[in-house]
Amino acid sequence: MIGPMSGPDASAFTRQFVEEARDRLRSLGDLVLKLEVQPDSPRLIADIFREAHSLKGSAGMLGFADISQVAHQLEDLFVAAKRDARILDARAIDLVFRTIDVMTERVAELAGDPPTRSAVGGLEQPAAPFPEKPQSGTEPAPVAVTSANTAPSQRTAPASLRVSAEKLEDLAHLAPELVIHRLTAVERHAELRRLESVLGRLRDRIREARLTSATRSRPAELAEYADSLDTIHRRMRQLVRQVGDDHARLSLIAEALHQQVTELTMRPVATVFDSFPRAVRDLARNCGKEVELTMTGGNTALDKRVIEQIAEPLVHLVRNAIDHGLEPSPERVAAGKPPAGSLHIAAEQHGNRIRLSVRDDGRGIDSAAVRAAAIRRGVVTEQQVEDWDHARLRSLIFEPGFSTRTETTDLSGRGVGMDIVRVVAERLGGSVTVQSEVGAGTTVVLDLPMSLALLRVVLVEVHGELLAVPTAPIRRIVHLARRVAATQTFVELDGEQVPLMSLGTLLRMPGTSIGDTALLIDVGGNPAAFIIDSVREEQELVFQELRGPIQHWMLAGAAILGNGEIVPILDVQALFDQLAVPIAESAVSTAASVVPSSEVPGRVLVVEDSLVTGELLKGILVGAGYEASVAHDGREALEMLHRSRWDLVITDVDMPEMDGFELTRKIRADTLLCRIPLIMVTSRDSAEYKQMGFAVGADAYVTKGSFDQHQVLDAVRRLVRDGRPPAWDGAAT
Amino acid sequence: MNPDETERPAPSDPIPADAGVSYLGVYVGPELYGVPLMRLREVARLTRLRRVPGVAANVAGLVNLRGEIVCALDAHGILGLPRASGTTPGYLLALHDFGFPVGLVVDAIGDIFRVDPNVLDDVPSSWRAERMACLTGVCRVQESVAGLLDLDRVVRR
Repeated sequence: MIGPMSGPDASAFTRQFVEEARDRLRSLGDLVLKLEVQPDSPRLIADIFREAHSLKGSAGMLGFADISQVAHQLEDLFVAAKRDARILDARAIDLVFRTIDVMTERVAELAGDPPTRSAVGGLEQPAAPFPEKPQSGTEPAPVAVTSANTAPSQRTAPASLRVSAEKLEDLAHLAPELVIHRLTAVERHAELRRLESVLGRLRDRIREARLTSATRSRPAELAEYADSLDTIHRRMRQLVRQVGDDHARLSLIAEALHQQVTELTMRPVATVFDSFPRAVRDLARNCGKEVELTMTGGNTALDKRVIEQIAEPLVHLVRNAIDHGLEPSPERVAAGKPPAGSLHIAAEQHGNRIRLSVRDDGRGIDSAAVRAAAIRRGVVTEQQVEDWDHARLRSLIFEPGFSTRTETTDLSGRGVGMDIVRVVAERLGGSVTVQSEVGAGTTVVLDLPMSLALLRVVLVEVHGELLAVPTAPIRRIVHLARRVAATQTFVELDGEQVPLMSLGTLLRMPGTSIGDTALLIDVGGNPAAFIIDSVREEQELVFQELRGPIQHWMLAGAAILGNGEIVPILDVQALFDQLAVPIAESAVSTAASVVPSSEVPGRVLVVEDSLVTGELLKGILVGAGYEASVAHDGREALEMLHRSRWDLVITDVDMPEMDGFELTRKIRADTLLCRIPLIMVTSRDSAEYKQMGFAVGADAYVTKGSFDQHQVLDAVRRLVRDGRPPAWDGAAT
Repeated sequence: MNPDETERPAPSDPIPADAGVSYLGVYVGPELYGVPLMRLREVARLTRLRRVPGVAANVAGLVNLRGEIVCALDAHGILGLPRASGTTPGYLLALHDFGFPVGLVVDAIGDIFRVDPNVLDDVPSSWRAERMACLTGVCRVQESVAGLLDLDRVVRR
């Protein structure tokens, strides 16, 4: 069937034709849509005629006789319509649309695309071969243009991406700039090497001079050296400034490059919206309804990946609105509404989120009907929904298993697939909500992130496990002597004493490996160094939030690496929030109180949910020669107490789940543990709490406000040595 | 899965359609449990589990389910069974409808069975507290007794 044209250029011409035909068919579709609204516009008829005529011409030239012939019939029809527009009745327009579909499909076939219907495949009826005879004077002969695939098919996602020339040009401008800077860097490097060798020679001469200067001084020679040094110094200063400038400019280029590449993946929502006028028209016609479609915000930009995934849910929403939401005209008129139903699709940007809404003025969703259907389908039980309000009942339409094919039309006014809408929205880090009023209409709003957030991270290994640390707050990576990493709690970096701690320990990761690398991280001007095993590489990752039971106090989220492995992302802010209070106060005393000890005077368990306070107390105790461990909550404490023998428990009061009072009560109620002395440490400095502490069985009570390590150590020493006092009489502090 | 297809009784089926709720039988250690099919998103063989230190004891870790990071809960821990070591990695039951991606790790998958919710047996009071807290009831499935899981309670424990 493909035309007679052959030779090496045939395929190039075919490609050109495909491009052109696509444009013309798209424009034909738009024009016919408009014609439906203004059926007797001579200008529209003339435009359509012209498009059909041009299409016939190019198809004929390339020998695509089938397309040419169909276009010819279209042309004939509009020649007749020029004389009498009345022949373009609803049936004729339908035929025109189907003709355009058939040609579009044939063109897609030429382009080598997989057979598709359109972006909204499921909405249309199978195409019929053109033409049935329009009721006009023209007599087009039937032509066998069969559609390759009449069943609705899923559009396969194209691997390629069309990019505007303008954006590519911007990128192209950046490339030569980068090359120029690379050349500059080479030059600067050469210059530095030259200076280095000059300096080297100068050093040798000065050494020589020193050897001989004992015999006689050579002021002229020294002056010469000084001059040389001065020249070198000036040149060096210049270089430093230049390299600084280079660095700044390169950063700008890198930033712009990053920005533009990100923008490349952004697409206007119109990519999806454009298919709606036609889809809505067809669907309304199928349902025998009149629908007036309005759309706003089509040029709102969204991440291409987000757009690809929301197309289908949006189609669901539109289909449901027309199919179930909007009433047929007579019903509308009877309800005092305009005969044509209104359907509004909108995209709006709010900060870095996009809100997509589909609004109709149809019959609305009857929450009582939803409730009844949900109970019947076993989605919820009657008791569960007893005190639910209308909005919450309506949200049941998003429950899987709520709607089924047999029930779409009668009760709820919504159809299959609402659960899919929600699944997709949530997968993209968004949400979906529905507002509705019986008799007035329904609005479904999809709230989505504008882009799938890319986060720049450094991948590090901690206790043998991979962890991602956001790059932004990392000041630099430092290497430590193993001895320093293993023993010190402070380290001097950049002329500053900064706290040094093991990231693995802070994260309560199993294993005890001590690395020789640390990340110097700075949040709000408070630097701290965190020991890790090693640094792997820097990367950009698609951030996913962690929700539900996996929520972790020190993890911001997680991401999937190229090899499918999951890597948790550290929440640096949360890490610093934990550290904030005690660092400044505790540091010096902890470091100073290291007392060598040959004999362990006792084993102390510190129960403390704040890592740093826990480690601080442990540090003080170890410093005083005790063996100490930290339990991070009451449950862990009880487990540890049962596992081995302890001489003393020091517990915080305010802890999640099981607080210090409850823990103390449990310890005192346990026949194995009830004799272990216990000190309560808390920031609650009130007589009432203190009383309560003693009442539940504490042997001493220390307030953090007046925290003094000697006071604590006194109490520890006394209790470890003497055991529990015979009666709790509020003995200490 | 279309609930219509799974719940419509076969012609010879004695239980009327709306009386039966379908469950997937799963094994946790030697014990049989039923997971309501309606809440099941998919069942996948557990290949790689990323453990996360410092999270709740009932969380087994994170699983990459076709690009989505799913929180995998440890059925052993939740039901108070000792964690078997050196056994096969088992299966991940991805669940619907919790507002976050979540799944349950079990050892093996059994048959689908249907239960009339009105004729459930009570949970025997001799059972472990952890187990009782996670069940809506028990029923007989062929030769054994199956605990029917209340997923809301399982996930929120």
